[in-house]
Amino acid sequence: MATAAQRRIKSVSYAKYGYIFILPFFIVYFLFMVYPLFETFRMSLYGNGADKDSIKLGISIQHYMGFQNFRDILFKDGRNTADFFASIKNTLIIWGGNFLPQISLSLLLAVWFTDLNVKMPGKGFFKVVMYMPNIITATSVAGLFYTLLGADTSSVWYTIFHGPKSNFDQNLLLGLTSVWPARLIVMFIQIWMWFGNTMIMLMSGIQGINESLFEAAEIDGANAHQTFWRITFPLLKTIMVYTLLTSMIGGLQMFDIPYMLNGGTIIPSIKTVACFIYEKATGTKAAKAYGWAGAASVIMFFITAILGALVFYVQRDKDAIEKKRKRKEAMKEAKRRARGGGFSI
Amino acid sequence: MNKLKKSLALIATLAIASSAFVACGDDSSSSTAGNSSSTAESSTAESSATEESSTGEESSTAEVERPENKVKNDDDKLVVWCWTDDDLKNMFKVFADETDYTADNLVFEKIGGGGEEARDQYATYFDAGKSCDLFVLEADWIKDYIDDDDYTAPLSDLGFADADFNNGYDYVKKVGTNSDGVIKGSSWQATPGGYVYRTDIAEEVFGAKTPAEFQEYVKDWDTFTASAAKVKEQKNMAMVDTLGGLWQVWSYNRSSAWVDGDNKLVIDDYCKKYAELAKEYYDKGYVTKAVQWKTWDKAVQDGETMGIFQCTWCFGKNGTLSGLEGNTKTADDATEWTVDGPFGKNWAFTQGPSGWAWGGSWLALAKNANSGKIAHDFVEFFTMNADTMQKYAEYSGDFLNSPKAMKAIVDAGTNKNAYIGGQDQFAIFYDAAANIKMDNITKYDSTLKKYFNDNVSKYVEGNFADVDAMLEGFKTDVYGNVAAIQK
Amino acid sequence: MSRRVTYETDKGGYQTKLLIKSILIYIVLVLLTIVCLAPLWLMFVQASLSNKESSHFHILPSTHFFENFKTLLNDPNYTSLYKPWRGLFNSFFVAASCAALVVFFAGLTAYGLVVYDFKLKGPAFVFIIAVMMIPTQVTTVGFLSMIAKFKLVDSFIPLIVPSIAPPAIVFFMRQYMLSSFPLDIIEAARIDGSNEFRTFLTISIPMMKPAFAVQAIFAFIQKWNDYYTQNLVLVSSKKWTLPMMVRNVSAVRNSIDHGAVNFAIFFSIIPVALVYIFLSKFIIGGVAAGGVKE
Repeated sequence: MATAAQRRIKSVSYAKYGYIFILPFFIVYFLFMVYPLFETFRMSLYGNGADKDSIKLGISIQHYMGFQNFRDILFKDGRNTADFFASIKNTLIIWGGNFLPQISLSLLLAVWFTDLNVKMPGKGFFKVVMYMPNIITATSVAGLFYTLLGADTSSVWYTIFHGPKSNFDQNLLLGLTSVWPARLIVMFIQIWMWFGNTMIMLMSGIQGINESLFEAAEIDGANAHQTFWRITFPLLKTIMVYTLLTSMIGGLQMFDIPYMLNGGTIIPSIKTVACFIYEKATGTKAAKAYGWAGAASVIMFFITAILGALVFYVQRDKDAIEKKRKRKEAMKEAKRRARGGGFSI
Repeated sequence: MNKLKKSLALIATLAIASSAFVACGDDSSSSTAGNSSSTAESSTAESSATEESSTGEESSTAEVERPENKVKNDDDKLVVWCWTDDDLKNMFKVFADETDYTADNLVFEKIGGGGEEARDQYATYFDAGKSCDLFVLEADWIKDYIDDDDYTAPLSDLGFADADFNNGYDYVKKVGTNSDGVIKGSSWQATPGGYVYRTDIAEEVFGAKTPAEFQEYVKDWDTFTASAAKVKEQKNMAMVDTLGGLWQVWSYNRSSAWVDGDNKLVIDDYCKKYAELAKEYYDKGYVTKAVQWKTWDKAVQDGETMGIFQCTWCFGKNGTLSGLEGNTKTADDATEWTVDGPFGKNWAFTQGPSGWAWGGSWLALAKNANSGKIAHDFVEFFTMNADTMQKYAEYSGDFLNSPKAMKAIVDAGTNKNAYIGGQDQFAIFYDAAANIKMDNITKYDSTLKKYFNDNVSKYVEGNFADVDAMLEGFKTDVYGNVAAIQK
Repeated sequence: MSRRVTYETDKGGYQTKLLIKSILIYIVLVLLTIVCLAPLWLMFVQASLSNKESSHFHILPSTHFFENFKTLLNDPNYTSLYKPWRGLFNSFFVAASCAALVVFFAGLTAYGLVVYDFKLKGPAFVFIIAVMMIPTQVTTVGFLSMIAKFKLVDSFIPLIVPSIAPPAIVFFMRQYMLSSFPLDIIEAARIDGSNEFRTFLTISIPMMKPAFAVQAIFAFIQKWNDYYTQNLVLVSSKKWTLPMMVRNVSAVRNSIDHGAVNFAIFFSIIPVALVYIFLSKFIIGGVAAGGVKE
């Protein structure tokens, strides 16, 4: 570490390099993120549609509309209220149905993987395999499920029900497009894609827990169950809350799978908030609903901001705990040294 | 070298153009569109010659005063945007065969996977600064583009006069005319529809041996429904392949527009009536549960339905019927096609419960087109010139926007469609096409019909308590997606 | 580190119990492995079925793999929607450029924040943390209107250039540098007369290689799979990336050759799968280090 004097010299003579080095980041960030963000906020106060009719009616994207878009999205009987709340509901259902099983499975696996009592050759292999779904292009995964279970292409149903008799039960054939099957498939894909990632994160969390705690538990005769609920779980709480919040933020962005699952026509029961925004923000001049999409984005932004703030709160807490722990250890160490004996295991 | 090529091309086009104007100029002449050389005709040829040679001279001797072709001519490659190449493949083939242009002059670019998608994607392409020469539009959303001068230019820019569009069906011209009265779309097709049915079932259940006899059992909706009940009872078969097919017939027959002059949604008894009929058909099994263009073919092949509502473009070379199992898709360059499988032998064609028409494709001129000459020749070849249109109809099996050409084929009795046991579908279409009216189309049609149909589907599947709830669902969809439609 | 048990031979039943537990765990793991691999296997199987075969569910591959590839390459029905080589190139170009920019500029920014003291250092870092979580989706509308305004529709620029500013990765790099980058070495370099930029290039980059590699791999995979943004920006078929092409062929499923479509789906995952197979060690290590934050 540099001494205080050195640092002072440095700050005098080299400060400008600091600015130069971080400048590209900030220029690009303002251009491609901050500006669009402000533009989104602005457009959420403007109208929808860019076609002649909308312009004539004074409700187009060139016209300032105040908070009309928010009324359309949030208020009772608003043009999009039902649709928007349905998309929030879908997002929550799919996210919840994916997160709970996912974190349970990941936690279980993480405990197993870190438990050296259990002989486990090929641990590396399992980790690699379980993380892999995360990197597979979502559009391809959705395409595969569409092939296997989609209404018009379902090879699985044909095989189960012997032969392409479309009238036998169209509802079954349309399984993919009806409310719960579609949601379950999305949940499944999401779990499949993310449990490996969560598992590895939890593993590093468990490995960060002070070993002596486990040893002490062992000595005290705690069984695996007790060890998990009394030690691992409480100490993993922070990292789990972190996972929960980031997963929620990720869930809000869920787009590829729901969008692609039916070959590009969004199934209503899995239309997420991100799909809602995408749908409104694209299309012909008449369909370009930048105002509504913008309003939904603004709402999403604030939800994310709140979740993000919580993440930092949790993280900061964790850091503080870490510091406290370190301080304690240092103190212990100092005491031990002071006592003139002691050894560290 | 280049000059020589150009002048050769010029001569060839002249020849075609002259025959074109022969056909166009004389509507009432007999079906044998010939090459007799009256003075009027040769003068047309001359006038087109001056036009073609791009001297910029206004033709004074022509019967029809035509504007100049104002479109840039930087390029001899015609680029056409479309969402399906079923038609364009055939068109390019015939165009290259019959004119001096070669396949190298003709390019199509598929944009979007289907009509709906193309509607959105065209705008994106144009907005991104891309352009083509001509692009294909569908009746349901043609107004999106022809009412927007950012995307389309009037066809008169290519050197056509309004009168040039009079040789086709009136409705085709009307649909291609924008709200300011400018003609911006021209179609090669007219698209009346009818009912394709199983002859064996018709005979077994109704004792009807010919299409004319069978027509009596499907002549209006009440009779049609009664017959459906009979078919269901005796053969456990549906009468209609898909709800989508049923809807097309009804959709056409709606008397009021979907949106009125104040941009307000119009919901009338007709909507309710259709929803109730659909529900009845669905519940009683008069229609299969297959999905149009998706599982419909399997329903047909498995003998689940007595008939299919099909329109002109379903019968052609790459039409929907050709895709059914047992129907052999012919090689692209074949001039005749046959049916090997069992399909064609049992099927025949009749008008059905009501006249109707389905879609159709219009060619529009892109604002930044740059192949003026070939674009002009192409539009003329396929949408105005009865002679060449007849050739194309014979080649492709499509029903074209030229009563004269179609009459010629019907009179000659040469058209035997393999998919319907050698029957001439043109004969029925010829009568039907004259009655088509599409006065009510609005730019919102494709969107509104889609939402309506989606909600009807939900209704028949039991997701709405009653028709009123269904209509509420429909309204919610419309207001939530089309800001310009007033509440 | 991992838990160790020091009293293994405590009780008689303990070993057997442990064995049973291990076997049970193993069964679960093997089942999970199958679940993880099944979709990929099925993608491969589907890609090898002919159009007719694909209407039935198959567990074992058939023989039409290359036939489907040929159809995809030659049949005009697909060539207009799915151009394998073009898509491969575009996807690779976008993903690789992004990966390079991400690591270079994230490294540069983090270096600036760690090595130098300047007035706005604190605020700059707070800003980076604050924006880390903003999802791209919330800026969609403004992004679309911006690229339209600046005539960047159908250009790779809006896909690649933003990679210069990845807040989460800057954050990660900063933490990494703080924990494992000896600042004295920079002092030493200065004394040797190396200028600041050269110090960054020749000393800091080689030292941070492991972090760079991990972040580059993640960026590559993430950008390869970023269908959302690509779909918003790219329009013409010349610019389409593989995920976009997959969506195109999926959307026109009816009345076309399913074998070819399934091959297209499979083909699009080959590159990322290869990257993963060869670099999985880095990737797992990176995730464990908390490196993956989108």
